Amino acid sequence: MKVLVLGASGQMGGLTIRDLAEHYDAEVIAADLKLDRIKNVVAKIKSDKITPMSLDANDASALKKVAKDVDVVHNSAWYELNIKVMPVAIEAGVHYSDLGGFYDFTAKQLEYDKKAKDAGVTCVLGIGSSPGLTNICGAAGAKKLDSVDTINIYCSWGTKEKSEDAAFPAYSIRTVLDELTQEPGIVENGVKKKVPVLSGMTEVLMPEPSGKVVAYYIKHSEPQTMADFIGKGTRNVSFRIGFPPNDFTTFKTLAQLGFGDKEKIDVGGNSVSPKEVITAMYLKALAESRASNDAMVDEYDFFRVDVTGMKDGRDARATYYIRTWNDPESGISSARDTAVPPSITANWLATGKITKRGTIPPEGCIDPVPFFKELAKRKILVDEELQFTNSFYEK
Amino acid sequence: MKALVLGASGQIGALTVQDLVEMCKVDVIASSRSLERTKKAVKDLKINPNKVTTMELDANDLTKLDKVMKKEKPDTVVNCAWYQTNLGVMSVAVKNGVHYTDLGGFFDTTLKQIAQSKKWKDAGVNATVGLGSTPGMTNVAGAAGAARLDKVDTIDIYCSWGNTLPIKEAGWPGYSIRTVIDEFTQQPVAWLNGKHKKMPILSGEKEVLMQEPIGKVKSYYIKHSEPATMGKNLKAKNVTFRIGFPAQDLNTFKTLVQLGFASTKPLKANDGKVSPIDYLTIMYQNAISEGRGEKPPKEKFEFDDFRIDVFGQKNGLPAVATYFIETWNDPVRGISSARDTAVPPAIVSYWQGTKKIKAPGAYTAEVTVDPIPFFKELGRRKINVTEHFERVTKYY
Repeated sequence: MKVLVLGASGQMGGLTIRDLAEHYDAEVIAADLKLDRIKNVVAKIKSDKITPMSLDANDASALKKVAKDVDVVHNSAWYELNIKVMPVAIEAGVHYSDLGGFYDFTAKQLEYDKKAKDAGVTCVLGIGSSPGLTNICGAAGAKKLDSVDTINIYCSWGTKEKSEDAAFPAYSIRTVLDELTQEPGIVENGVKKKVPVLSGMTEVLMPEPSGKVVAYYIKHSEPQTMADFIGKGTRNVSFRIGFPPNDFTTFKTLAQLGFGDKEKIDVGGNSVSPKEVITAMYLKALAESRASNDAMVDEYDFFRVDVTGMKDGRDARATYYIRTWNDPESGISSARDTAVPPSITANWLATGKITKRGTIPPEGCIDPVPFFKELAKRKILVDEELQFTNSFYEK
Repeated sequence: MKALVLGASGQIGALTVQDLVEMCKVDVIASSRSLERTKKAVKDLKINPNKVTTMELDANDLTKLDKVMKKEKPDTVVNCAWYQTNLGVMSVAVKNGVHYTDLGGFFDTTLKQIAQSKKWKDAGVNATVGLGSTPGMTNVAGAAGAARLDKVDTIDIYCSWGNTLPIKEAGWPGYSIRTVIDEFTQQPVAWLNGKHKKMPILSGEKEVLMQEPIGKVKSYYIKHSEPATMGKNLKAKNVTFRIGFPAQDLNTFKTLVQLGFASTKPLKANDGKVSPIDYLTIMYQNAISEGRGEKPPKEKFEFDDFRIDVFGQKNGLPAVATYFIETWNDPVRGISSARDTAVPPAIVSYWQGTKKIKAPGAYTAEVTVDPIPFFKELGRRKINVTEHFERVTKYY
């Protein structure tokens, strides 16, 4: 199996190539804009099958040349590149996956369905933790029910010690800022609609030590695809984040200060957008923390997916909890829940385990239970609760 | 069929008489210590007088009770009087071959009651004891949950109540004030690891999610009958009972206890002697009797809510059956939520009289009452039972 990973030196890409090497002994082309950055990342992985490469994902012809020679192209780079990379993979006749198109790009990507089918390839749209694992849980829940009414997804993260540490999201700061400044899309009564930023406030019970958190609607890819691809009458789909209170305040502050703006501003003769600045700052801090030997803090990433509907004429609910803690043995953070799914998927694509062709989100092409078992090998823990309700009275 | 109801003028007894007449269509002898209060209850509740005979009868007066049973030959007796009369009434009922049910024995009495089982077996009659809302429906829900599982580990019972009135109403318990006071002064007993264990009063604090509009409530161990029998009968390792008092009620009852109203020692007052607990009881009884004549409200505004969690295993996987029992005042029939305590003994009495319950012996509800038909009977009275059955699968 040969996989091309774009954005391989990023927070996720670095962990994806490590998983590909450690679990599948795969041949990996680890590509990134900057060769020295990717070399540093690769040097830490014990595998002689990883080739670092400098590659600009915007350069279609260079990308196509490399893509032709692999089984799967996985895009761990910024989501706006999806729409540039995916068509090249289809043209090259190879399978493709990414970490999600942040709702709007996902819709654009779905338009390539026929092209992908004609080329005989599968493009798995959004196979990180969320979107990704959450979509698969939705599909798993739907399988347990005769009909589906509502799918609600929740996400929270945090650390065991309530430290006064800086707020590091488990994913790109650019995405966080987009989440706090762009209107989320939900499905309500069968209709896709946009709702205000940070509306839909609700309390939700997450696994311990998260416990009860206040969660808000956030723009995410799941509501773009899940109603259509899961079907069974699904009328409502929503995604909410239960931010840790400290992080929430920090990110809101950054967003309110304008760090989510794309527009360049002049500072001392340099023209740079606030979003680029904050992203660069985070990337730098991340690279430094990776280099440091500080003791690991116990930290986690949790998801909850509620699928409600009917089974045998009764109200029923399937709830999935996905729990990922940092792994002290391997020193891998909880962020692996976003990095591992593309690795498993690349293997499934290369070995023919995924047979559907076209541009498909995970709920449309991935068999949940074997996938959960693959996750378990990486200590990404999935619990399923099935609840059936009987009412012994006239409603 | 004919049922004899003791304590028929009380908060619960009067509603039991009403249910026996209106829903079960049986003839009833309604008796209590005060003929006047009993008559008023029958009249205030607009119970068909052709189906009810009122009678003055103190449940402590066993000689008179014996005479009444011999003369009237009821099929069943429902004891809605104070629980300390349970053993005496049972001894007369078994002698006369009359089936028996009551509202619970507050743990200690319950154990003494079922210890009489052999006598009842020999006489070929059934005593099903502790058939109010709790104990009673809670025991049956525990049995229903156990039937869903292959193996039972823990049964946790929670009880709460409240109203939606904006004003700060007085603290009215949905059951006898005497029992409330006992609950605040006697040590609760839990069934832990297969053994009865005495716990401190108001210990075991736990937050529990009840149905709306209660939501999350803090609950405490309370002395109750369920842990007396359910562990052994349903093969559970642990059985606990907690009450999630509405904050104001908790405050009211605690105040009454701290003022000394729990005391049974008579105090001199003017020319007479009365114990604080008796005095308080009379105050509540009068207030209830007076309140009954009032026009019933046209809206739903007060409720009782129970939650029973039965944890265990099903097909080798962890599973939990949760029951919510929710009762609002019924504006159509003008009946308070307290019917959830009054209806269960009526149903059981009817089932005894019609041989649906016939096992000779003395048992608690989890042994003799068939859950699903029972829940459906409750449903006819808008006592709403919802069952959630949850199975857990771990993919790691």
